[in-house]
Amino acid sequence: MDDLLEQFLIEGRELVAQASRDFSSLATNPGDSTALDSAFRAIHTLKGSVAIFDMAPAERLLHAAEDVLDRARKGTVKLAPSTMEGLVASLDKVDRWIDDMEESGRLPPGAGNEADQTLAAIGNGSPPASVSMDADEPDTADDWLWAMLDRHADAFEGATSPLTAFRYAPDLDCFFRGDDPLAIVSAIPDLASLTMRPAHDAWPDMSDLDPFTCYSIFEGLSSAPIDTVTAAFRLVPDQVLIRSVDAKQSTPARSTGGGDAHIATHMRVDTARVDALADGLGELIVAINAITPVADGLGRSDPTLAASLRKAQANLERVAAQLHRSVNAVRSVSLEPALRRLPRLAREIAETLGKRVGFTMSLGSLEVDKQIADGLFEPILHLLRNALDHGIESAEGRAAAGKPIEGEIRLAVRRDGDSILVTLRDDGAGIDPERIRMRAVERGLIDQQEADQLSDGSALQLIFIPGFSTAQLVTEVSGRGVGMDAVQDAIARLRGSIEVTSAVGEGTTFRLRLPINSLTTRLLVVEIAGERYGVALDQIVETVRIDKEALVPIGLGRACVLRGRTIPVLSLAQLLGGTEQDAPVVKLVVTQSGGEPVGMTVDGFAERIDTVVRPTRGVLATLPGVMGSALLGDGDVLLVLDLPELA
Amino acid sequence: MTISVEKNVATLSGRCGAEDAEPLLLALQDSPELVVDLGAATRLHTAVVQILVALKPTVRGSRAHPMLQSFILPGTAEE
Repeated sequence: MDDLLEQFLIEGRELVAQASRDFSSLATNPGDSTALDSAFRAIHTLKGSVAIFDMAPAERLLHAAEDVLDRARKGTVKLAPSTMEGLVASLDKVDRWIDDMEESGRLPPGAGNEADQTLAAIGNGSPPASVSMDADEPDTADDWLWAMLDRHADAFEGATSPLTAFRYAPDLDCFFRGDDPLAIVSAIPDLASLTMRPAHDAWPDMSDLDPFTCYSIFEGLSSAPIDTVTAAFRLVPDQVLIRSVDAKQSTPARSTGGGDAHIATHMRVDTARVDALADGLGELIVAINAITPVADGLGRSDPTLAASLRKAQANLERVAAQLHRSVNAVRSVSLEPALRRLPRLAREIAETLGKRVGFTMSLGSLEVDKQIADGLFEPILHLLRNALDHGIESAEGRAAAGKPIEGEIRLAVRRDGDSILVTLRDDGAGIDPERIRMRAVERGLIDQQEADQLSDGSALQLIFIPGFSTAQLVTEVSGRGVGMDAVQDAIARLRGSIEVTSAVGEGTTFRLRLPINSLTTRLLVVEIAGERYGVALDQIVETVRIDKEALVPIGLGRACVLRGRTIPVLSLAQLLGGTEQDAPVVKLVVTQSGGEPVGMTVDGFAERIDTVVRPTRGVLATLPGVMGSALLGDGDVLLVLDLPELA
Repeated sequence: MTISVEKNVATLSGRCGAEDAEPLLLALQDSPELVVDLGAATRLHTAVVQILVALKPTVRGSRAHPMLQSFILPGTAEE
């Protein structure tokens, strides 16, 4: 893909996300001037970006949106709810077209007509005339200009002829390149005013001041014509903004040269490189683990040397852990870019279904591993489709049930210890466990007796079994041959878990729990029938030791009472084809399976390790209940069990 | 050397390039009350001027540098 387009796809989407955030603030508080300014800037910049491509309808829409926002900023127009809807619709349209640009490199046929329809929705009188970048339109986004004219009011207001205003923000490292910004500025003829200011509000303190960093920006006015001033900055066109100003007219005109000044504080890095770094670090952690058996061996012949080696290992571990945190921080991304398309899709899907639904999303400022952020979109979209399609009732149905006509779906994400908790809640019809039991029996997934034994909570989890679908009709929206089992698979691939709770008539809630960092997994090593296995700590609710007598046979299995609750107990040794050891005290690993706690017996608990779990390949991949394998410090391979799958 | 410090006065002379910013900063960190004399400097690099603007020591001799005197260091004392 062409670099320019690639860049546009990233930045364009960021701007859409920014504007849509601002729009939602404005929808709740139309007087929010910060949101208004921010939305205006985002739309303005986006308009400039789409102009580079063959996206005239998008440019037209954005121009109209910018116009409305500008008038709202000036207070000449109020943002009525209908106007806000029009603005949101315009942004949705542009967002959709950005997707089209990515897929096919062009807008779909009919985009022009769509733009005209949406323009009508914005309801402003701005003519849908063609807009081009080189037009001499007054550029109202020149915030810098008004701020600087304030500061240079003496020189500006006293001027009888037009002046040229400039703002020169040299790069931080320009001294290293041999630039001398003041020398460049001194080449400007007829300076009427000049300031040298810190780029970030204040100069660094004396102790923090780095003599080789350029912290300064230069602003000034010259009575020389704009072309002359532009020529003086010809070597640094990317760091300077130049406008013509006239105190008598107060309408600044755009310069023909000079782009937007920017000071780069972020760096875009190919994610593959960060992944390579993360992989390397994972290997390092494993390599450090290899020291333990060496130190143990050494301890028998030379305890002093072994102690030094352990100390060195502890140091290595500490540094590796620090590095691990840093790499995690680099890989951490905000969830917002990954999920920002959801509100638009929710509106589109609701429209297709002819339902009125309000979708709200609260993501907070949580940052998660990139792999998690990327992997979450599809499953959440699927759940959202289901909620819209099967959860939320038709308007008549809702009215009959005495509910507000507009359905409500909320997506919330929050941190909970080392995991993130994603909750998707709808206030729709809910899921009837009885119907789920019936359907599961009909499909032959379970027999009637099993169905009768299931608690309502467990019955609901049946929807995640492959081949289960409660939809009466295959609808266009959610009947795409992808069941809830696909959602569960997707979440499991992220080492997460999913649970559903529902109340008939009140709505359904899906809870997804995912690890915040996915680089290494904390494992508990357990001993089962003479072998060692790993179990991911995030699959373990708790580990308990109970007396053998506390295990009671129930039906064909066993159970025990834990915190006043009876939980089934399975033998991992038997599940893995071995024989359980007989001991007076039974050691249990309690995990969560299908929303219910399940105890699993093991022969012993061993150490906890941090390691990289690799998905199994080949023959191992066909083994049920195995999540992957981990390389141990001594070179041994540890099979990592997937407890919920075994249960 | 284009910077010499004597009796509480740092004198900049000749062409002061970016490399002179560091000794000037160190001198001012040692004794913040230092007076900086620009009278003998023929050229002052941005890096040097930036130190003066950021740390605001007493400056004299800026008459030799009209642009600095008019705009950038107008508030500094001239002895």
